[in-house]
Amino acid sequence: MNEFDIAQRIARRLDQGVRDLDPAIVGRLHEARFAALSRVPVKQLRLAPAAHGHGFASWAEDQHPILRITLAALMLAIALVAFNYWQQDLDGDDDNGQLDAKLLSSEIPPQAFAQKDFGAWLQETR
Amino acid sequence: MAARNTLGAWALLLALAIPPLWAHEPGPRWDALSAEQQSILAPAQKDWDNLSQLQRSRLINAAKHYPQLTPEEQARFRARIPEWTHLPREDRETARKNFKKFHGLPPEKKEEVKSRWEANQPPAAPPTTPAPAAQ
Repeated sequence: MNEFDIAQRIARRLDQGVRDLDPAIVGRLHEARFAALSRVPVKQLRLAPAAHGHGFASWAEDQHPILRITLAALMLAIALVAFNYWQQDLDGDDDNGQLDAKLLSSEIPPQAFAQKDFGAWLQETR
Repeated sequence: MAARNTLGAWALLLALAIPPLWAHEPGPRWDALSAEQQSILAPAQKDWDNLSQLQRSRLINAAKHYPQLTPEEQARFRARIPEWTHLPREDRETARKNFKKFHGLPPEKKEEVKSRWEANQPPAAPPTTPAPAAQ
């Protein structure tokens, strides 16, 4: 008799033992299983492939809420910093200095260029 | 541990948000400008303390190009500084955008836009004549 035969005999004896269980014990086991399942978060019970897919979204979904908030805060901070540097870049370079010099010294005053009408005339003229 | 993570994240967010705040703090002080810069930007001296760092740096950059302007342009440049510095930032950006578009137009189109602008100007006030002295 090899190991496989021994395992099969053990499995058969266990199955028989389960079948011969007292109905009261079966009932208690059933209740215990339901009680245990009711404590499992719904997220872990989902079988949808998206929940266990690949990518950052599914990874983030599996993380602790605090970590998710931290990540969101970090991304917001990065966006703020990027926006700030972009704004500084728009305002600070020398090309803008040349533009402002030309604008301030042009025949038409700068205030005129800021008017809505002027923008409309430019559109119509194009 | 979780609370420490949250605190750390907010501290980092605050620290990263601070540069935009100090970026708008006043930049070069008036007395830190060279004599030449002070001379060109003299019309802005009165308001210099109230200008943002960005406005100051742009005026300083504009002043670098002042020597290349004709005397007539130089006069206009200096005369327009006070009104320019009082324009809201959005208006300054619109003016720059429209000026670039205007600059890219062919000469005849430029003339057309200029004529339309001139036609929309309010008539100049007649010169006031001093009342004749009572005899």
